[in-house]
Amino acid sequence: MAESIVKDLKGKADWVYVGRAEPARKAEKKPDTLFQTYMRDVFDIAAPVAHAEMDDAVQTQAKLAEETLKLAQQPAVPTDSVDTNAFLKRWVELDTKVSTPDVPNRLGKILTGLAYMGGSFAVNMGSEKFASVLYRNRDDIPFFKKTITPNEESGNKRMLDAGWEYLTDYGIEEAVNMSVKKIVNRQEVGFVSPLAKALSKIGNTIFAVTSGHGKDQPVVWKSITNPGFIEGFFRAAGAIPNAGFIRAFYGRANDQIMKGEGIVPMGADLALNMMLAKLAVSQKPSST
Amino acid sequence: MIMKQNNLDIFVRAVTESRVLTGEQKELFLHRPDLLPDTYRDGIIRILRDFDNRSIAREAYVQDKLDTLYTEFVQKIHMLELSENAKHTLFSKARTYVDTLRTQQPAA
Repeated sequence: MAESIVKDLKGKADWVYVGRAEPARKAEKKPDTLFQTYMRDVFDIAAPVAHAEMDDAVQTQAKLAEETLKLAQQPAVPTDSVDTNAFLKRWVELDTKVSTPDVPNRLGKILTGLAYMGGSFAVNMGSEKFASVLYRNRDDIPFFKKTITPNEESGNKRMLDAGWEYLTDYGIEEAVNMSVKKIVNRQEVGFVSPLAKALSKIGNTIFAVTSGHGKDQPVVWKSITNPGFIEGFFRAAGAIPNAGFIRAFYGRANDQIMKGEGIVPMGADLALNMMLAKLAVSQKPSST
Repeated sequence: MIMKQNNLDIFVRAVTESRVLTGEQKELFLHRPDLLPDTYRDGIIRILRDFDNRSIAREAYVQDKLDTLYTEFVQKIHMLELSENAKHTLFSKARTYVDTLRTQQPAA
């Protein structure tokens, strides 16, 4: 009651007499009391500042996290300093991790795959046309001081066809890988996977075995059997929504080839050996 | 190239001298900082320097207040009739406590 009256009076008057002034307490003069008062004042000063420091530190950490998040949301910046040369990463990384304005995901992958398919097809088709000029339509080819006759009877034409197909496919593979290195500005990445290389070689072997005797394989089939076209197809098809099974097959087949285990390497070896056996039998001179 | 190098040096110094980063964070920032984009380094430098400046200002404010407080405390003690030994003990105790308070680890 008395306190509320005093408060009211304090609010209305400059001063008010509320009773006898308290005598100065002797305890305040004691050293220990002075020391305690001093320490209390020290904490009164330091505590709010320490609290402010902590609040500021928390907010600063949040700003650092925000800045780092912005960096993480940016597309990966290809650099030459990435410390990896693993062959597996060369094509997996390009497919799954590197997302630059030049090699974006999904739609970009489809377009990129189609572009490489088209480019590889055109180059391979051109190489077929060039082969016609180089040896197919010629009766004799000078070879040092001798001549090669690329006809069916001698088997030279089939040999040259097989060699030419191998060389052009190898050139396409190298060109495709080189172009990807240039596009993403990284030296450790590639485009053609082991699966595409294996399928290309198997296809070439099939053509080599089945061609000849006046019946050449269609140029179109030869032109799509190259690493660039096959790889482009897998990457484009694998990027189509709901075509995850293609990606799964592509990934697992590559995994099997690189580990040298599983049905894919075994199937490739089996097919190659069967074809070579057939080739050996077909070339065997008749005993009768 | 020169600007990039300068930015890198400033970044390394800002991280090393930072009052807000933990030791682990400093290690992470200083692992191949040349791979970090310039803009990111600039952002981190600005954030760390801003905090450090504020922290230094707070420290100076507290130091000033504590100095004043200590002077007043000394004056009050001198006004008491105490032996020199007792005064010395009190001053030493006060300085020890305040120094301990001041050398506490940063909030981070």
